[in-house]
Amino acid sequence: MSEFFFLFRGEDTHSMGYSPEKLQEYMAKWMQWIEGLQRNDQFIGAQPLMQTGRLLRENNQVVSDGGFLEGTEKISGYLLCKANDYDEATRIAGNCPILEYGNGSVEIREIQEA
Amino acid sequence: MTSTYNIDQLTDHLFRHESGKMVSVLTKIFGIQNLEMAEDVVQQTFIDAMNVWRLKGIPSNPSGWLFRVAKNKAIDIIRRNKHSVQYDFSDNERILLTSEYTVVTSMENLSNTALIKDDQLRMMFTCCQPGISQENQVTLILKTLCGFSTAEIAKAFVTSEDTVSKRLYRAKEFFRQHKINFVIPTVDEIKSRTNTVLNAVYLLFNEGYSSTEKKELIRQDLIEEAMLLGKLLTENEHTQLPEVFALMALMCFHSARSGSRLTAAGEIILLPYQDRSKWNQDLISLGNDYMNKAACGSEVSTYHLEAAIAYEHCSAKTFEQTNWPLILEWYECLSNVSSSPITELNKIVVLMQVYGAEEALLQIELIGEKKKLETFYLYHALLGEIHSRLNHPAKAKQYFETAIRLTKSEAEKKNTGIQDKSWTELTPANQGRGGWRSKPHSIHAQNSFPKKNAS
Repeated sequence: MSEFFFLFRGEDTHSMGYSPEKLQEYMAKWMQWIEGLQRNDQFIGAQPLMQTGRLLRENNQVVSDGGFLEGTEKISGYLLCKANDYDEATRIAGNCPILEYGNGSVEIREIQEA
Repeated sequence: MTSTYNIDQLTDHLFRHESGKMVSVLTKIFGIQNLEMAEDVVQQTFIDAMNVWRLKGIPSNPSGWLFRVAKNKAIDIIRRNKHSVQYDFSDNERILLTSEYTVVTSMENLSNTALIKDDQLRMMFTCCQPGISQENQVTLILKTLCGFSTAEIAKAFVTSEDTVSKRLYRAKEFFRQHKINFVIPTVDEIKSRTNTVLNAVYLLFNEGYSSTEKKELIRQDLIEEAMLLGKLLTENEHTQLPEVFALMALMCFHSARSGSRLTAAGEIILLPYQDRSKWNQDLISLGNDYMNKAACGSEVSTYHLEAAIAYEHCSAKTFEQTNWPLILEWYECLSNVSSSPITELNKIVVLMQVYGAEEALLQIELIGEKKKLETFYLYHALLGEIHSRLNHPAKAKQYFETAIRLTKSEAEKKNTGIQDKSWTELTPANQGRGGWRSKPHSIHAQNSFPKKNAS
């Protein structure tokens, strides 16, 4: 088993227009998805990210503080899980509701072990 | 860790119901002129919750979490806008929000959870300002108190999102232009103002109940929301009026039967063919309790009478055992209190059960303002039924065809095709169809309303 890192991008502008009911429904889908991973002992952890952020370049100057990436590019959170290979990790990520509802994306990266 | 990913922990409609509470509390804080700001804070709070909860799990007290985040956002806004003229915090209740020394404590006091029901009532009365049209009142209630989105309201009322947006805009414009206090009306106003609120609640209920499109869950939601709002009115000592209990009884009796009204395919099952064992006895007995509470004072409202009619249907063991003569009496009272062509039409359906088709035909000729009925499918359907009972197949066919042409919903269409069945199912809940119901009037009745016991 290897560990994989999922990076969630986008969706925020989209969810602004959702009603409370729809937001709850959307959130419930996410939880179902993570619960599934937990049941299979594949879930390691996940965290949401604040909408604010800063970006530093080589000369240590603050290039921007917040809003430096627009819409579909913005990272909203990450998740760590276990999977046998990229194929399985991709299958897992394929069920992420961000793809069904939002206009977001999931980037799948394998964590490098020594 | 107290949080969990178990979504079963999350109650149905949690966000929707918390939304109404939070908007009410925040409107008390920002003022009704800034309703949109309250709505924005709530929306942003839910998005935060969604982002955090879905990855970190549900906090042990979800509703406490939501209120805390919303309050913090509200405090941020107050601090940011300290010097703006947009907010008038000069009244005694809110003046402490203007000082940095007291803003946090004051916010805590104002958003005290023990006051939430009061705040929701304030919101109800504010939405039902006499200067706002009935359609706009109901639209506003759905948006602010029931947490419906513009799209969901449009779906519930089978109208366009554009129309809903316009209605909301007009209502908010009204708040901006008039200095409206966010309060429960005073004792001398409470009676007439509660009537407006009841009317809105009943419209909401009827919109949910009269629908025949089973697949649209949103209709069931309307029924539930209407009953929740009615319940709020029954719980406050100022708004515990007999007609409030009567409306609750009416809604209980109608919704008790809702499970047996449609087939799996969404076709209407007419009253004689409904499986009465499916009727919800708990709701019927709850309706009885409300009916007993409604039986005080000397006034009989239209809700009392409509509830009495609904009760008779609910308490009949079989269709044949229905007490038609008594129902007809209630209808006579109803048309004395608030006569409308629709009420008359419904009365004639019952009259047909008691005195037969010939008498019904005679009476239908006597209805005034028949023009309003010409576009109403039930009028033609009833004429079709009468003529088919009188053995005039050609005439009956003609009327049924007109009825079919006039129906919009598929289920109603299927219903009209069934010629040999009674139309009585369509009597109790059809007060609200064919246009927005006019404001109900109450009268001084000769006798107080008879007590109904579940015997």
